[in-house]
Amino acid sequence: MQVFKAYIKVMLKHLPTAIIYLVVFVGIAVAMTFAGLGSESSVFKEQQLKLCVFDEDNTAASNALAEYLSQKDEIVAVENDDTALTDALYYKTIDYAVTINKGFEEKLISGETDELFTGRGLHGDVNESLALSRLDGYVSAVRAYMAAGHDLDTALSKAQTALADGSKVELVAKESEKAAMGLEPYFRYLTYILLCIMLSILCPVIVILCRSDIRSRAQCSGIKTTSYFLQIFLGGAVFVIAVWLILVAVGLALYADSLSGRAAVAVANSFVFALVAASWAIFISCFAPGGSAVNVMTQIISLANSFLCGVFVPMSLLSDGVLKVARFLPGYWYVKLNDMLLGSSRSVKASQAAMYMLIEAAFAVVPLLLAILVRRSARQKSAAC
Amino acid sequence: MENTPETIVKISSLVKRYGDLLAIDHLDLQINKGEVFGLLGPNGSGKTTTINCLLSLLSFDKGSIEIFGKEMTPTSYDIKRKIGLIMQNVAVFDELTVYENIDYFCGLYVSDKAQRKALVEEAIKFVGLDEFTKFYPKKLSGGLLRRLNIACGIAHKPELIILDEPTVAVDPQSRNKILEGIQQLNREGATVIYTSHYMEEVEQICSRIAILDKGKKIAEGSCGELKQLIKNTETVNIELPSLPQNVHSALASLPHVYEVRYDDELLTVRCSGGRHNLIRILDVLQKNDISFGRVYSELPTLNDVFLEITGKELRDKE
Repeated sequence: MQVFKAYIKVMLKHLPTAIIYLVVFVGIAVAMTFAGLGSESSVFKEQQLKLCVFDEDNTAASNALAEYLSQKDEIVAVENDDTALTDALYYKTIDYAVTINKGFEEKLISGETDELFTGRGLHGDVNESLALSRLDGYVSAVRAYMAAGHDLDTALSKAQTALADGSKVELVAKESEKAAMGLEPYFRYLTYILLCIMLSILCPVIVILCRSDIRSRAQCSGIKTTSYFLQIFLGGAVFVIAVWLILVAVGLALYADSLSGRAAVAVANSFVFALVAASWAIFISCFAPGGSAVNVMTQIISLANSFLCGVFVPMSLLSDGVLKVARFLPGYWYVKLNDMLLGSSRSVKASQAAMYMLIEAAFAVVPLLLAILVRRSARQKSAAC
Repeated sequence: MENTPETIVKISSLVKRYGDLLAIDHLDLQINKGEVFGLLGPNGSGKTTTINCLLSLLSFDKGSIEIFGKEMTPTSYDIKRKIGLIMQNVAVFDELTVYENIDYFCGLYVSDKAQRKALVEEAIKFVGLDEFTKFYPKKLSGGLLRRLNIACGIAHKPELIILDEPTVAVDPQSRNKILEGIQQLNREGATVIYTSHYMEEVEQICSRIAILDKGKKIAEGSCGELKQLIKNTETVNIELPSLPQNVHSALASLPHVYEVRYDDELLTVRCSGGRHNLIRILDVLQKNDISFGRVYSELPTLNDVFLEITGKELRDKE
């Protein structure tokens, strides 16, 4: 196993690059996950104001309004004094102060709208507008019920019930935000990181082991050619499986609550893609690129595959032309199946999943066959020189 | 003809074509045990192709190759285990240390760990890399790299060592060490095949030499035998500011002189046999009142042999 050992030793020298990719990727995934937990932006909650209410009318209508406000907002007790109110507003102890003026009930019954309240807030502040809108809404609702023939008590009661119900809010946009921290995007981004790691690590290691002078020495030795290449293959397989296992294990650990039968298929899908990435690395290694060329090719291939195939930008935002081109890339089929398994569409048949994975596998087989052809032709060329 | 026990390598009527180009043209070679056999020729003469065919790295069109009395094929692993290869390029891993590199290449032949350890340490001592075992190749100078290259090829103690231009781009000091090392390996019992286009190296270490040109063996023998093949026995060089035509003719008519050339204020007179050639030439110059500068005389080298032989060959073809 001399060649295998050398393979591992050479690979270990290139490992820091892989570790950087892994740490950055896993770090971002962990950060996104924990940033998502308990994030208020993912839950709808009606805006609550800190109000100070002074009831100078002290009637059933004014009491009902005060009670309505206490249900909707937080009532803060502040001394009814100009300086105290100014301080409370300045220090944000309250957002708005409302005084229900004397004669509120009478004006409500008579249909007068002037000077029902006196308000005090920070001029131009959104909270002032919100408080005024809430008071207007309440008064409008009571008047509407009274106009409909109800007496004051019934109108107050019905208005309170109607306004308490509020509107039903469904956070459609937040669904995608929630998904941005789940298993689906994690597995989607895996295409980028797998391509980066395989191309930047596997490719140069194969180039070194298959260098014509090093291989000639091995060919002249007692080691059989099949054994030599089998050991190189074994070294590559160990690397591919190790990287894939680490990435999948991290994903499954982070999103353990999202695991299902579909996740298992997604894991299988990611393994097929890992093979695709490895096969591309083998193909590129045939051209024996140098270190900087490998870096350039890694970035071009991984970014092109990611941008064209909906890894970074959702497929729904990509034009038809781009998607037509993307069909000729493995990432397209991977992302599509991943979305069907874990994403919003969540509809996939077993036969469809198998077909998509087979198409991906074809993207692994073709570069391998090409690699064999290129190597054979290069050998014939070098023999002819 | 059957191989004698002493014959290590026998190449018979080897032909290798690259399309229309005949790279090796019916080459016959026999290398005996204990020899340092030199393959001499200019770039493109077929030295490396011969070595590659010998090692089954290249297939060939006609002929046969026997090593240690057995036919050499790509799967002759028992033969390959007895061969050490030192190539023109330094074929080592930049990612492995000096020790790890030698251990890797030795491990391709020797699987026993303890035995390998002893062999690797011996090879390190042999090439004088004791202080550099933990160094990576990039930290080594050109000469030390060449020594590492040699250590990787000989660590498993091969019976046949093939060195393909191992001193290319090496400083004179390192070159001498490498040549001394090769001679020592030979003294320890290894048969050596040495290819080079440096005539003086081949002359220094090889017991027998084959000169190749355009894939054909044009001469073979010991250094002395090869020198006897050519008519040049002495070359006299004299620095002159000018050479009148009558003096040129007088020099050309001297006995044993077969070529007189005057280029860039340097007179070169080639002689074939005879004694006192230098005195006769200086006498002609003195009688014609020609003042001259530095004077030196050279005995023929393999370079002269090669130039003369290949020149004739070329002219014959034309």
